Amino acid sequence: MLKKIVAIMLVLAMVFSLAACGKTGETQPQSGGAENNAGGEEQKEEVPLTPAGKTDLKFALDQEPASLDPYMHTKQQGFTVGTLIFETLIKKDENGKFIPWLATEWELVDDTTIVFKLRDDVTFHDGSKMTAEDVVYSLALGATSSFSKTVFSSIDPENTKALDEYTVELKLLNPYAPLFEALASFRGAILCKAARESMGETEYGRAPVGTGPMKFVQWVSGDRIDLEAYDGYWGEKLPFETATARIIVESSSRSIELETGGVDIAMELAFSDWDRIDSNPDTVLISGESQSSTFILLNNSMKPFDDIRVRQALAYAIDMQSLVDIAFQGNAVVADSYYIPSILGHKSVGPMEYNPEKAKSLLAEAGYGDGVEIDFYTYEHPIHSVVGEVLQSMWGAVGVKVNILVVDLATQTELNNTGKVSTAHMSPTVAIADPDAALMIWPTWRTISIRHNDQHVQDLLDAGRSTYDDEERAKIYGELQDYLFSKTYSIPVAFPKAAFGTRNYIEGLEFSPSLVPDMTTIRFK
Amino acid sequence: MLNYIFKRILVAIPVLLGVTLLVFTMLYFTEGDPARLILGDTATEEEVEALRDELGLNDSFIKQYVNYLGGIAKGDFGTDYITGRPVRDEIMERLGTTLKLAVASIIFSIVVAIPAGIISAIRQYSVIDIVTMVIVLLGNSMPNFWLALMLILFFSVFLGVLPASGLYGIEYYIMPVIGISAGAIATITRMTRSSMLEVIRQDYIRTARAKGQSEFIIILKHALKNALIPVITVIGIQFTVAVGGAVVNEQVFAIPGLGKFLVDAIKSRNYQVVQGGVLVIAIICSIVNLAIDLLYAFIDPRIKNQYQRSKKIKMAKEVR
Repeated sequence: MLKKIVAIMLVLAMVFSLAACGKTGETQPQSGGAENNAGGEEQKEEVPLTPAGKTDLKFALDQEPASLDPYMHTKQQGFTVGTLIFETLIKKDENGKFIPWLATEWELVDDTTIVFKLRDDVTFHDGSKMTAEDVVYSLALGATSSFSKTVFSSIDPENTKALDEYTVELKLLNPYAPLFEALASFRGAILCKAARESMGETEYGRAPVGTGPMKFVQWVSGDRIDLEAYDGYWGEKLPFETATARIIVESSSRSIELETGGVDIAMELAFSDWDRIDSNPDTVLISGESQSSTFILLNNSMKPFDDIRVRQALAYAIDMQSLVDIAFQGNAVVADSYYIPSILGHKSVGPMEYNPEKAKSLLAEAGYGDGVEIDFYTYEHPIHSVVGEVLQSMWGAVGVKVNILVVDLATQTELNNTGKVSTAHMSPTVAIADPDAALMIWPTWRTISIRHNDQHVQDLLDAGRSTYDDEERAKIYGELQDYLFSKTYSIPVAFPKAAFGTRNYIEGLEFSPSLVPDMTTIRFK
Repeated sequence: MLNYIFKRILVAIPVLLGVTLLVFTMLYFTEGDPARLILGDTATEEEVEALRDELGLNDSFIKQYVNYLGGIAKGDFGTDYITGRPVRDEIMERLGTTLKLAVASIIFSIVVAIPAGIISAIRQYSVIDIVTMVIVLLGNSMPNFWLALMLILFFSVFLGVLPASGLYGIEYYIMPVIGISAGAIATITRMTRSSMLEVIRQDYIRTARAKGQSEFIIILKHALKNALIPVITVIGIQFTVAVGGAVVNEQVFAIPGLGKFLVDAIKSRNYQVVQGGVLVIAIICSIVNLAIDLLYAFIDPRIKNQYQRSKKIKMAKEVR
């Protein structure tokens, strides 16, 4: 017995010491050392092959979706799974052109009327046919649900109707240029009216019925969502029979699962894992610019930010390049405007030059020559907290004392929406790649603490929203960006990058600025 | 004995009521609005207000609490604000996983820690004792998070023998069990050692040796049995820690357990999930404590006598 115990002790001691060594060896990934597949992979020099007989796809999400019903949440994780289950009327091809999908053709009858012709061979996973009624139902839902209103509120739910079984007349309350972008996004999915009405919205969100290539099987709370191929799918079949979305919140665990082949795709990799995934021959890093940009919120209805000289002084006092390099570890570019360059109408207006002397004189002019104290709000977020610390030193250098207040996200959200946040670094999610959505913080009805109350901003937003001509629209948004910059209501900070990783046999999966990649484009090499 | 169990269960009711009141009050006064969190920053004030009404968050403190207690009495733990599902279902789905892991971890801890503690005690100041104590110190001081990641790096990345995360088969349990047990093993080993050291110096051990009893029997029957009471107390505490406090291990190993569920619920102000989860953990704690107290009686005849004596005195009083 004694011997046994000694043996156990020794094993334990070995485990601990070896585990400690493992840390130093971590920088050199062991290729092949972690092969789980009996089929095995080819040597790294040769063309990588999909493990023999692979018919499943496993991907790791960074958060559990709240619901899979696209009109009942706003989280990218739910939409990502949704790309396999649901489909949209139209899609966008790689050149940014809208192409037919569930709709075969469409016609803009006038500024507020669009007629869609639908495919007649599409069935839902419960076997029922998709008809114009389902489309009308989904569009009306988009217009009324508090989750999707931001992109679909212009749809007139009363007068949008089915002209016949496969023709839909979409009516708008007012001209709405972002409509096609919204319909082509994962947010404009077509739901099964009969199933959703009989199941109820909560249950439908837990066990959705769509028209996509994969159908829902089960959702194990906190663990995974299982899907399987839908035999009655009208389009091209996917190369996998089953798909599993695993929920792995811890970012290092997510990347390790990818490295060891436990999953084929890992979403939302942390900056610290990028190099390792990139240099590992078994895995591929797919990165790109996210469509959500970050900014420093200034509460324009609060002292001292109600004085434009103070706002400009704060902007002049920031060495933006250093701030971005430090906070984003080199994985972002300095924001030169209020949304990213790939969205229509982007105009390079900034950043404000780094000029602490000018900042000091502006502050003195505004009556704060002896210094001023402001609060910066943050929560347990790796980037926002670093931004706060850097600002504390940069603003401190021009006589602005920054108190960093660390709260939790829930508290900050409440303070922000009741106008109590004085300043903070924020990265709101941009729902669709359209300037109207990208400028979502600016409407005057918004409850967040920016509180600029400037009607001119609202007028320009309204004008841009209702102008269909791209050139004219771009001009309006150009003017708006110039205007926002001249007023310095906020300070744009960065256009961050994001990345996900795949095993080397996955191809066809494109980076998506919305961080919701279309999973139906996945092929195995 | 049955009488005693019944009394203990009765005592648990006010304790659990106190727990619900405490949690409810704390959440009520915590900043952060669940309705705003669900709808996000882009919702208007009216939409948020409407959802608050729907969730019953605009009711008075008393009304909300009474409604909540009324629900509990009927076995309804309320609704998860985020998923819209019954909290009871959500908790039950996770409770099984958590209990399986907790039981496996505590068994593993006992199997490792008690022999280790005994050997350390009977070979006090020997090499084995020193090595054990160093490992125990390490086990106690290693951050959970770090240990869990090191285990994954070693077994999954370096050796490639164990799956890195999830809980889909027996081999998936190995690393989480080691991760959760590390602290428990350390504590139980130390408690066993010190308790044994005390006992083996007692006169009756010397008597047993004097009558020529084999050392093995002396240690197991005479010493260990007497040394077990404090050890069992510690095991009980460690079990409740494994049920509610395995948050870090659940996060790193991507295990859908109760602890992480609760922490997420606190972050998203998912009030009813927090209340339900804490209540369930409190119930488990009560049950474990009761079981431990009963186990005392089972192991130690003196304690058993006490239970019976109080019964006898009572009976005597009634007769009088």
